[in-house]
Amino acid sequence: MGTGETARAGTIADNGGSAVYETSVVAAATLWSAGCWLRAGLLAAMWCTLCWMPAAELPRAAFCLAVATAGILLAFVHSSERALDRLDRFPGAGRLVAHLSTTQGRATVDASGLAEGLGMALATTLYAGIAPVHGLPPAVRTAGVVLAIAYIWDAVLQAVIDPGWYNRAQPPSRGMRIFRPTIPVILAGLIAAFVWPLSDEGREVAPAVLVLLAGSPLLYFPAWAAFDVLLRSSAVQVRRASAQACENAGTDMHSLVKSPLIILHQHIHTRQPELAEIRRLSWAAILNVEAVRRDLSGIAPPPEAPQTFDELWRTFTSIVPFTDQRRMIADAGSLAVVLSPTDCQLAQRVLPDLATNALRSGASEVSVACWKAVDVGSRHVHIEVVDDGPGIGASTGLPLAVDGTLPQRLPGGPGSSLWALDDSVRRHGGAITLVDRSVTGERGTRAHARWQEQDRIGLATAAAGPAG
Amino acid sequence: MRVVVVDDMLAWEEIVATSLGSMSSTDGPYQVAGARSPADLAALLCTESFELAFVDINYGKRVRDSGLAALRILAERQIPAVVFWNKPEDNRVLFVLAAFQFFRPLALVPKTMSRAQIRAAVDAVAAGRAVETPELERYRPPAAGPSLLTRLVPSVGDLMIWRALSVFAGRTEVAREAHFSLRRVDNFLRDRFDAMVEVQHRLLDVPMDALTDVLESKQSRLAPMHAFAQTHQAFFRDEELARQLRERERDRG
Repeated sequence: MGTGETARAGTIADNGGSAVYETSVVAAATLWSAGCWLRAGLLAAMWCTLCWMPAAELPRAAFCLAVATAGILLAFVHSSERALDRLDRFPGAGRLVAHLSTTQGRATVDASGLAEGLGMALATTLYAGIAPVHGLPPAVRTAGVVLAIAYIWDAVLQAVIDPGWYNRAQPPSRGMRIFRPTIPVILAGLIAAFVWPLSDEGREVAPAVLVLLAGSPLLYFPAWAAFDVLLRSSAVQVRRASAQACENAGTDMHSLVKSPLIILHQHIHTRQPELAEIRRLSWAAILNVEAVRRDLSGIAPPPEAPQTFDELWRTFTSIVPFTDQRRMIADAGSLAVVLSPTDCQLAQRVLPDLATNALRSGASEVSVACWKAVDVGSRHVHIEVVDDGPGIGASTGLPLAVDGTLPQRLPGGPGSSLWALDDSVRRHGGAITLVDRSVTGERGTRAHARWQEQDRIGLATAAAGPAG
Repeated sequence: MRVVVVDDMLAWEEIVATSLGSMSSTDGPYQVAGARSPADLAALLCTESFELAFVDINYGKRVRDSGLAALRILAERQIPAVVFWNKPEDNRVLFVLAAFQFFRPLALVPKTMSRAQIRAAVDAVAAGRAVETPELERYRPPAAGPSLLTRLVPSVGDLMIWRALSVFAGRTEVAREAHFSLRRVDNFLRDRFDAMVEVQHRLLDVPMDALTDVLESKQSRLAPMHAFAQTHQAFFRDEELARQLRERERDRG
């Protein structure tokens, strides 16, 4: 393994620990929310058992279930940012809100857990144990005790798999770590103590049901193990995805960034490097760097999406100075134009060249449009840049033809960027035309590039649909 | 002579066109066209013919096919090709090795060549002369004995294990993913390790000491081979490679 690979493996291993915690936070949020609704349902069913209770027992039962209800309401608040904000508006609730907010994602005891625990301990005593309420039908009593223990089981499960156990930044204390594996055993003991049939009413619940209920917390061990396996697997997956992403990023950087830089480097080392070509190649490199950045940041459309003029426009405008950005506008219909890979690369070359020429001429507004049209039997891609600058005649000092074009067709010479650009589009059956708008009584220059669409396998046509 | 450049970057087509004097003129001895992917090449060859192709190895994330697919398309039409690549591409050396194993391209043309050197290489091909570049000997299969690629990936079964290794780093996971026994995976790790070391040493210039440390320390070969498979996963997952291996196995009967 090379040095780079070792370093990468180290970084990924570091990510693995946080991946476990982050996955547990995401999973716990969903599990917590689902658990709250489940427990709310169980509690509602327990409230229903009051229908079979004698009137004399109702105040005690209502008190016990009210404590549990307060607990579940706090549990809902605990998991909802909006609810925490609302609670914070109540006078004197600030400390409670602060407590609930700061105990999220940490293995510690919180108010909602305490209230739920106390409420359910009291609720269990309504149906079984030393002094249950009298006068309940045995079936309702059994249902009540099962509902209470199911509630406790779910609430404590959340504590057993709480993300706080996996938090490396704020790890649980040593005492809490020792406490964790004892939770199932302690809870089993507590349930046994609470439901033990010490009264005639308590004995109405079948002993087998009580034994099963008392033993149910031991199921936390396999649940905990399964949760850990899933978390570790997700960390492994993160590691693989990171390695894959690094590999892909390297390949993208290579193919999109290195190529124009190598070409630029080669050109600089020729006998007579041309400034225009250096400008064009450096623009290509800058645009590609920005394209890779957008891609790696997830801003760009996915690779399977068709390449559009919109993405090229966004990439280009994000690298020009802000003052220039404000002077440029793109025709809305142009943005949806789908381009094949060759057409996209030609457009990537044409757009910066024509647009920066217009900006440098001192124009206050530069309008850009892209479209496709059938000309002389074949489909062409067109890009037009119109500015309100002094006009090509005034800026070059050359005489204009009657139609506003230059007699030599393009300014500069064989070394200029426009000539190089013209060579590129001419290879694809196109041309660049500059027209001084003064011939039509307007101000500025209309720069137009067109070339034959290079879409042999119908990528752009398929993406644009039948009307495209 | 008509030359086609199969490269996802239009700029490389233009470099070749400029080198051959066909960028702004169609009167010279060479005409250059381009294709952005193997599928684009296949479509182009339906209407045009060429006497030489410059073939890149990788076409970016938008294209699944590699240069091996382009070389196969060209070989089916008996169009001679040269591999056009950038040397420091660690994760592409196996593609070049496979290109020379399966398709016997005429030359290995680095993209760092000057325009004059590209022109000289094409002139040599046009005149029927061999184009020797310093890198070529590293990739050309030996006249006798198994090639480095054959030792690395002798069969489709071994390819499946390499693919599994590019994802998993555990013996059991690799065996399960590749649908082989643990013994088969152990044999693979033992038999393919030397070829892997040779690829890294001969093609990627990794010092031999760093590689033999693994053997001397009796460390598991799994970790370095997993890392190697990850680096070269694009190669091991290449459909054209699998196709060529299957065809070779079928030919052997």
